[in-house]
Amino acid sequence: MIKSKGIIISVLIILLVFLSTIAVTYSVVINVVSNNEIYEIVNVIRIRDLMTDNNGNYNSAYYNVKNKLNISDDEANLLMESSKLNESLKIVLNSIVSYKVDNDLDSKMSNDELYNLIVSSVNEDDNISNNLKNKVIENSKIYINDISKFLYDIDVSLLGNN
Amino acid sequence: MIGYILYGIILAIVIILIIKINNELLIIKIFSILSFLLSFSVFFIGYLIKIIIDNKINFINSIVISNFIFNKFIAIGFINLIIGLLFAILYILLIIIYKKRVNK
Repeated sequence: MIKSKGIIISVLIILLVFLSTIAVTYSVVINVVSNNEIYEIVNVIRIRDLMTDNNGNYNSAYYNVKNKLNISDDEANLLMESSKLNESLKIVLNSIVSYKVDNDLDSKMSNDELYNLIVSSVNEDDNISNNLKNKVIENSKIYINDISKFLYDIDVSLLGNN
Repeated sequence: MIGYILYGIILAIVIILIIKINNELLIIKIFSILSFLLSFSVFFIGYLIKIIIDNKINFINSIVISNFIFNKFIAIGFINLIIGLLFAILYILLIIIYKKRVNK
């Protein structure tokens, strides 16, 4: 009798730990996919995170940008660490999430708006040389007709809402 | 909805455990062990999810995102660890009080 009671209690304890772990995981997932948390995650993403992998090595996007702009590693670093450009990245990412997740059609930025954002961010940063500013602005002009379509075609969806 | 069902089942199991054990000291001891076990399992699950995110996303540096999520698991794990410690302290205190009463 005592032995069977002990077995039942042990089974209940294991079941309780198992279910509580699932409940905690579920609540964290629900919390993370809530809109406020998505915006919070978006706000911690910097240009460097988009240009490197988890080991800190530069990815193909970094080399594409570097080759297109024809710039050195130091100049690329300057652009990646630019506070003005990182602020602009947050604005663009927030706009993408708002458009794709919240279905807020007004939040979509046009090609001109995106171009102006890049130009103003680059111009406002005193650490970027005039030569580098010109390179960024000139190259932005080349891709400006596709940039909005490219950004807002990125597949963004909430977990469980695919 | 799934959350409410889960919490309901957990509450039911807790009530069944309390009825089955029927010993205040043993209940406190078991809840202390339960909280410790839960905190370690939450740490483990959080770490597992962090590894999965880091390995699945290769085109950007996902460490900031995985750390953001992992910190939430760490926070909940620590809360459980503290609850487990409080139960353990309470258990030890009650044992001391009980022994003092017996000695008198």
